[in-house]
Amino acid sequence: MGAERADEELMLAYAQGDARAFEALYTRQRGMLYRYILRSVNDRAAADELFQETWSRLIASRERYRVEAKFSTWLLQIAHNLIVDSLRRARPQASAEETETVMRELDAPEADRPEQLLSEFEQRRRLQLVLDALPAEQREAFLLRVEGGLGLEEIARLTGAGQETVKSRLRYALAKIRERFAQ
Amino acid sequence: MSGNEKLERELESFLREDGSRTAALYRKLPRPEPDASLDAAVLAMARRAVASAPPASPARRAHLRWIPVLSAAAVVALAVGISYRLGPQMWAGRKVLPAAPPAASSADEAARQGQAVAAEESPARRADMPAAASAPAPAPPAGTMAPKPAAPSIAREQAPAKVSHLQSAPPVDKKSETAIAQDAKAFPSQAAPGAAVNLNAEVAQPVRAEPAAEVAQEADLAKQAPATAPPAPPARSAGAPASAAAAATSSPAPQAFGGVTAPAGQRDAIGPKQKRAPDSSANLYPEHWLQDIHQMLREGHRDAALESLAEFRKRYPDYRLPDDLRDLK
Repeated sequence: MGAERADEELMLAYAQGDARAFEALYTRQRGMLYRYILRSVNDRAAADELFQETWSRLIASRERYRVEAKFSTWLLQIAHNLIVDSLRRARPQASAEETETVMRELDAPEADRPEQLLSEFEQRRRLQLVLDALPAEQREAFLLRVEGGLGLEEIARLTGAGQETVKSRLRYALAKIRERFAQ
Repeated sequence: MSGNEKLERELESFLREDGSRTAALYRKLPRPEPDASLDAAVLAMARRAVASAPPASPARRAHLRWIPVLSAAAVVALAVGISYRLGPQMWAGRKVLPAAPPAASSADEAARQGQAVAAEESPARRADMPAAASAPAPAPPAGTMAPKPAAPSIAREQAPAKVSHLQSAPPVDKKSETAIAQDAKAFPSQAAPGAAVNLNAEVAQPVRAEPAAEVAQEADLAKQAPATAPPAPPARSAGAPASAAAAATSSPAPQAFGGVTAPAGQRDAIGPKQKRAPDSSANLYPEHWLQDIHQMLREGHRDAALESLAEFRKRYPDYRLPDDLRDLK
């Protein structure tokens, strides 16, 4: 059995009409994309809809696909745009003040308990809550990095922000997560 | 180590994904995946997309570029083919037919009957028939465009060997053209509006009832015309009384057309099919046939002309031949 075909190669094959290439590509990317979307919108039904819409857009524009970046970057770019639109329609952006309030509430009961003392379940629950409470830009940058595996430059290009801005967003996101688990 | 330094180190390791505690913690989160139904929906969508509209490969795109060119060529070929097949009939539809059926002789009567049969036939059947068989195309009045002779097109289709003869627009026999003019004079009352079917003349001069005197004058002019002059204009009159001058000359009407007044839409009244013969000249209508014989004589093919004339006599025993041919032995 030969080496696995790269995502970009599979996408080009699909653009030429190879449905099997798409299946392979989809199998590779479906989990990452779904989690990125789900953790961005934090709503299963909305995530399902956005997930399907993302693939739909990709399929529709398959003939225009050019290998200019990683395939996952293109895929996440489509999803990112849809998420931004969805969040704009769904609710206003959480203000910094609201975020701080959520953080305080999160911190209040177990702020003095060390991270290692928390059960794994509790750690996951807290991380999930922190992610949900992060401002959208910070959460976006965090998820693109940790779920999508994108670097600073790619995140910057995808979100349309400068690299330093992205780095700053990531720094703030990490700080808030650390706060939540800090000693 | 300060908090800031720890944060920077964490950020660095997070970006490198190398020992980041936050990343490790994130990995412990549940890893939700799309439902099977969602997977099926997406995969079906992808399959449908490539099945319904397979994207064009470069080679296929190159082929696609030729499709408009090939389509245009096919359309042109089709148009040429249709016009080649139908053209003679369509053009012949513009030919001038005399307006009045002659009644002075039994031949004229027969011609009228034949025309009546032709007029009663369905347009579809008429379309199958040879082109209008007017004799030398009557010329429009001065100042109007000369009608395009139908003979060349007929000759092209039926007797290729004669094309050059017929296309050269041979001089018209004076007698036959005077006969046409006289026929028009003799039976103006039977001519309906629109029976004069020279379309060019119609365009220049709308169909109208003309006084008999005017018709007679036109016929007289036609009689006085030199042999090489274009034939006289057709009668366009309707309902006008016949003039005495018209009755004096009874000349045989060409059998291929009579004075039956075909409606404007049927003015391409065409001679009956049964007149066609295997012989190339015999395929022609009498007037054209006689022109052919004249042409043969002019070119020195006397034997052939005599043979053709004999055949003509057999086929049209009642046809009144021009003097020069009548005495030809």
